[in-house]
Amino acid sequence: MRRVIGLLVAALALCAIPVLADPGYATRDIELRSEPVGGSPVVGKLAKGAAFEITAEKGAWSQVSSGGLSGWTLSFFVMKGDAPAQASLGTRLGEVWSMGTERRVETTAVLGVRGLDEEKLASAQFNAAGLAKMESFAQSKAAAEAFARQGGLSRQQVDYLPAPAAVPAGPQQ
Amino acid sequence: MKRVLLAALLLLQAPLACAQLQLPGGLGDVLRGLQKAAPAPSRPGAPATPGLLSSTSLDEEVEIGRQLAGNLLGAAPLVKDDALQLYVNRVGRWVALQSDRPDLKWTFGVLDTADINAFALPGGYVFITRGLLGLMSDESELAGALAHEIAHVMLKHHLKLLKQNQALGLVEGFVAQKQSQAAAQALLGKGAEALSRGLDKGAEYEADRVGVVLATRAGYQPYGLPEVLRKIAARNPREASLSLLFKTHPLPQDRLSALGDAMGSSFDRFGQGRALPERFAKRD
Repeated sequence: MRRVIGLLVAALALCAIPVLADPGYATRDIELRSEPVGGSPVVGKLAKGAAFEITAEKGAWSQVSSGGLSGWTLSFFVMKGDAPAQASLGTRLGEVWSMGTERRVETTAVLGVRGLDEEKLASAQFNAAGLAKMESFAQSKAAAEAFARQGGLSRQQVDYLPAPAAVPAGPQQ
Repeated sequence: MKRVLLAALLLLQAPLACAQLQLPGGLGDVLRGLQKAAPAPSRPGAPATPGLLSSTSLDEEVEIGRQLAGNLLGAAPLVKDDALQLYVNRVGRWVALQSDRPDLKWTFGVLDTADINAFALPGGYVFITRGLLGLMSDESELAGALAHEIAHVMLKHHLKLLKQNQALGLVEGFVAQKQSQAAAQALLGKGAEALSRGLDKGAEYEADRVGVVLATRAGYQPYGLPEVLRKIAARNPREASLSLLFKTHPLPQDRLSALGDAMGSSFDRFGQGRALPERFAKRD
């Protein structure tokens, strides 16, 4: 009986959540499937940077619609927002990358104006009182377990994911 | 020159920055201790976490973490909200119980800064910023972000980085030479060199893969961390609040792609996992 209830809860949780038709775009070449299930028939393909409407989300999946074509694809490769032109997508990412490399000093001067920037970290003084305060908030195992029960959180058996080298090439759908 | 050094140092992430710039007296001894060839006695119940620093005792690791945590708190204080700090500690401790190091004295803190970031230090000290917390809409997202940091601690990424950089010896020299500029520069040089080999990127991807597993083991819906990454990816990458995060991590789009390759739709079987938006809103 408990198992049946568990399955029902799981089924409810997996119900597709309709969302307002948000604009979105693909961050890589994607396949659209007829159902939000790995191995379901491929109904179409979209290229990296292609724009679409996101019409629903369910688990790992987003339902997208573009030019009469509609299907499910993994949300990992779907960004919300307006699709940048193909060229500018690359440019934008390139700009970000350069922030961390050759243009570092320049962008630091522009961007590092607040928060945890270099200057702030460089001048940091050991904060013994803050550390003691932080350590006073630490929770015991028992307290954490009680908190989990309160929220209906139960332990699941999940194996660690293999490193990319051990993952077969291609979309894992 | 100083700015270039600082930038190189920041690429090693905040913890090392603190280590170099404000090295408290005790830390030198601890770091020297790291070089001991003899393996440290294993504590009963201590996890068999794979690590290059098998000679690092737990006490030494925790002491390094404490010192670096104290310095990070010098750069950004804790948010003055005890209920929030306790809440984050409860979520974090529960997720950490699912890791290979459940018995560490895990300590979590919310830093009072608009920066969007999170930090992990050796020994179980984990920080999340007020800015990152502000992007989240439920407890599964908080659990996912904390799980990424817990994974760094579990895998001893920061200790490994020091070892790979041969930075420990340099830190020792740094202390022995009364914190001379030359030793400090050599230390930074080693750090930058290690980074050019891309060690950090691999560690971040690994922490993402382990993080989603830990959060899912804890009973949360599995897509909390990917959702946080999507929210970060949707922001303007030129935002000041993102500058440090983007310097020390791969692009969120790339991290999502890698997670997608690793997870696929296989985690949909954990669809019964909880998101707990109400408890997150109340923060208790």
